[in-house]
Amino acid sequence: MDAKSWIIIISGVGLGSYLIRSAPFVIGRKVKFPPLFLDWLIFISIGIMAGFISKTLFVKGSQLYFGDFFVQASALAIAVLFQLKFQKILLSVFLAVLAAMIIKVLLG
Amino acid sequence: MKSQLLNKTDYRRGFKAGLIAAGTLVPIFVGFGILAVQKGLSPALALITTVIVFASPAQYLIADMIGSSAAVWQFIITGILMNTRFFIMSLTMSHFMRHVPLKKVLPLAHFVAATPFLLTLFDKRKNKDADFFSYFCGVASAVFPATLLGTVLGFIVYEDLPPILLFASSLFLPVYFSILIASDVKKKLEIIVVVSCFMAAPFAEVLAPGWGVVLAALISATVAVGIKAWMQRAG
Repeated sequence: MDAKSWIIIISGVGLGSYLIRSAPFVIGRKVKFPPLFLDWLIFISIGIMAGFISKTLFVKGSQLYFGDFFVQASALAIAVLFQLKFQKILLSVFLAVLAAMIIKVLLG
Repeated sequence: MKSQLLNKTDYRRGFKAGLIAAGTLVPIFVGFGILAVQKGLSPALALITTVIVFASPAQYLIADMIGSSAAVWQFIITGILMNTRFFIMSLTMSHFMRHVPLKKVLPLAHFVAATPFLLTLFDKRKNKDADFFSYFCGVASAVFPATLLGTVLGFIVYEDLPPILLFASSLFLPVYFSILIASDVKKKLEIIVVVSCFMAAPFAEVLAPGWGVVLAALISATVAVGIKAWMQRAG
């Protein structure tokens, strides 16, 4: 792939993506959303976040992967429990990741 | 007198939240940097790709197509299709940014991506009075440099990183998002959406790469809002 072709490609992808990203901000000012539609958007956002977690953990490349399930589940559980108890997000994140590393090393 | 458009407190909070997410974004873009160089792109072109496209799934996809028989327009269409999910994200965000002049919003639309979108939306649910636009700017200010750093590191250190650190870095974002959900999602219908999407998304992602998460969310959200409408009618 020569540099000129690649620049055309990323310019095209960048421009198209920008239009997709920016158009709703213009449309959104002209349309008043009904409450149920707003609920729908909120549900989608929550769903994307939950799906994003499981996808990041359990999909490697284009395949399902549950090889580190115990370590990953432990990390999530530690983080959530610590957060609910102490309400310290940053500390919860680092503690959970550290615990996951230790468990992974111990499990080999 | 001009009104203050950027609330510094909310901007700083957004920046801090973005820094936590950056822990995962850096290795994701390290992977892109490696792939790009392996596929024969120069480091400069790989970096420009991150700057212009700013969406790792699309970047991975088009970089992976290098060497195939695809024509230039096929690369472009594929990359754009992969990013159509941003439409829904921007549409949701537009509702909270109506007070911000378009000339300020539109340049920042480039930074609409899963992480800035989700972090900002969840903060808004928790802090109703927070300024959505300022928080989003803060998140984007932390996240965007992290993607550039990751891409650059991809050329330099990837092969020297111990596997345990790579594994650990992959956990930052899911752990962080889990905390946000556990702290914030309390309503029954929202919990149903969370559980159903969490379970369905990996399978959907394998069936429809790049779209599985959004499809799972679309279906779950539609069912949930249908139930809500039915409950409202039933009183």
